[in-house]
Amino acid sequence: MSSITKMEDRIKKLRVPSDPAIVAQTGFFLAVRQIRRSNPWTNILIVSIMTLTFLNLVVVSGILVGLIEGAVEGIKSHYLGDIFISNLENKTYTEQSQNIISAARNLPGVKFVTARYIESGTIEANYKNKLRQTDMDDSVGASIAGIDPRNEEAVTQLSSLVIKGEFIEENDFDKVVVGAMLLSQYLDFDSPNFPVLDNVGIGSKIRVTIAGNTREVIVKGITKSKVDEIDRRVFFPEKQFRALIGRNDFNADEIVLRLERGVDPLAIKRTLINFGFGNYARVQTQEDAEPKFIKDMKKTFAILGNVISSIGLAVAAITIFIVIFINAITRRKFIGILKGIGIDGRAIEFSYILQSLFYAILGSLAGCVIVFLALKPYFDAFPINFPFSDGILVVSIEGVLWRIAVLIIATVMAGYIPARLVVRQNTLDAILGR
Amino acid sequence: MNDSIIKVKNLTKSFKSGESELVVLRNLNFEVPKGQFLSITGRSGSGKSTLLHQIGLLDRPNSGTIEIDGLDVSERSDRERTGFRLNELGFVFQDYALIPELNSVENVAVPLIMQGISKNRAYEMSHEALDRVGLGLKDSNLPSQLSGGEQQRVSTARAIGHKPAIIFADEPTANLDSETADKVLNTFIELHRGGLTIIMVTHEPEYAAMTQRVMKLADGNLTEET
Repeated sequence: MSSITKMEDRIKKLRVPSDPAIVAQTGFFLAVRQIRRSNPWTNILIVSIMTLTFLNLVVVSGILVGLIEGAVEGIKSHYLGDIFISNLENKTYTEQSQNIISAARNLPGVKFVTARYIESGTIEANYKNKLRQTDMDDSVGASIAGIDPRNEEAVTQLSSLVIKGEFIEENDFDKVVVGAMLLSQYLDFDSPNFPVLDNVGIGSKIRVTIAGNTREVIVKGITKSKVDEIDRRVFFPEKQFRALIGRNDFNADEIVLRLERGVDPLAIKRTLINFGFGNYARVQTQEDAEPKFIKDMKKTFAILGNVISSIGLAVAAITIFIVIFINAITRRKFIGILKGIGIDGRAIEFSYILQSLFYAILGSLAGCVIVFLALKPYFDAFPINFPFSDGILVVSIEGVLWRIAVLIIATVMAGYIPARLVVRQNTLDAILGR
Repeated sequence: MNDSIIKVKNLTKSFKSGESELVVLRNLNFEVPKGQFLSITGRSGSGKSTLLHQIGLLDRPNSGTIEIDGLDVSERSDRERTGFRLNELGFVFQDYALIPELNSVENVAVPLIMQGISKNRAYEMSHEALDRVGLGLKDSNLPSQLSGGEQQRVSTARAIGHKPAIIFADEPTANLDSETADKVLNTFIELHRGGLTIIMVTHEPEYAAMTQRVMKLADGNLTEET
């Protein structure tokens, strides 16, 4: 053997295998055994921490979003429907209403249609108890709506919101359903800026005045929801109401469409606009028609959710950092021994990365099981009773996958850094515990 | 000597202790021929283990050079030194230094897997090494399930499993009863007969006497060589 070949052979002996596959194989070999043979309670504790962190990431923001989503769902279900058609700004009602209704009913994907006739008016109660002419009226301004009870029921299930009495029927006469926010006994606050009627219940007689025409009607039912637009309204059967306001042309103020499941509201909106109805009415999807404060709150709560999630993520990263750091520090001697017998530091670091990955993935999986098999069905069945919405838990597969990815990245970083710190220490110092 | 596997020249190692500097090894020069069974003796604190750590590439001297198999390894990078330990050196530590989560065969197999040998082949070689030290039947036991002597034999199997050129043993019998210590030393003698170079640190003269050559360290100097 020539001296050059001999020297090459010797130089080869200095080489640590740099093949990433060998580093990965060795790291995997160490990680699997370290996880398998470590104290099971330690593993359970770490996985529990990761699960709670995952729940913190998903559930806190999910409930914050769900709080608003509950309000949106309420408005969509009971007021706006999937498509909401209303007056143009310079019109008092929606022209061509019957053509719009007829066209909408014939569109594939449209399940139900209802029309509402709306006028502003006042309602008055306790007028028979007035002792003097100068006594203040017990009256309040309200939005008075004429509806076809059957169509309205099909689109908004309004009767499900009746908490006392009964819902009106098509042929009812001088009978109304009153929103709870117009009645003092259903409000838990008393503000001079928020007038309400006192002592009005089922069977009470109230006076409804619209454009100078007054009728005495009986309260047949009381609705209570978390949608102000409904709870500040009085509902008449359509026939009597149109007669009352003299609307004989069947032009409505609000037309609401309920679509088949999976039908894109935007496509239906475009079709109606393409028919030319945009010249007579404002055609909006439920999302377009949402009140601005809802849109603002959606954004606000999404930001809030992200902030809280970020804090949760930082806590998770610090927790896993501490856990891995303590693990690496207590195993410093063995890390030193591994280096001492020639194990490449990258393989040791990789073993810690794999352990972090294991805990993050297992924690996320356990979290997914809890979220999708327990929390989501529970909150769907029993929404949280917030003052302005029935809060649900909003979780999407995409959102969950994002959070798992973020959690895994944070965990891997948090696992890698302490392992790297310990691996970089002097081998002999680590072995001797100096 | 052309067949020296280790050549140490002007090796000095000191440690800082506050303001002062404690010189542990003073300008040492020696060579170890290939295949020799060498023991380094001396009183506690004389620097035996420090010397072993320098020539075993676990630590760096303050000055001087170390050549192993014709290659100057004293100034090599940490990664290269790790590679050299993996490929050429075997270690037996006083406290066995086994990885607690790995069973006997796995402890022996780790360096082999790091060398790129397949897991199955690494296990085969590990079983062979464990058989050589008489521990073939306890290959699936964790260190906590083995006696001190058995752990030391696993440690020895790990040191020889990857067929190194030199074995460094730091007080391998210190924690063992005399009967077990004899067994461990006999294992070393067997390995030496097979052609391995072994450098053993011991403070027990009777075990040192069983080796081919004895170097005595005192006050940082090699004061005696037999």
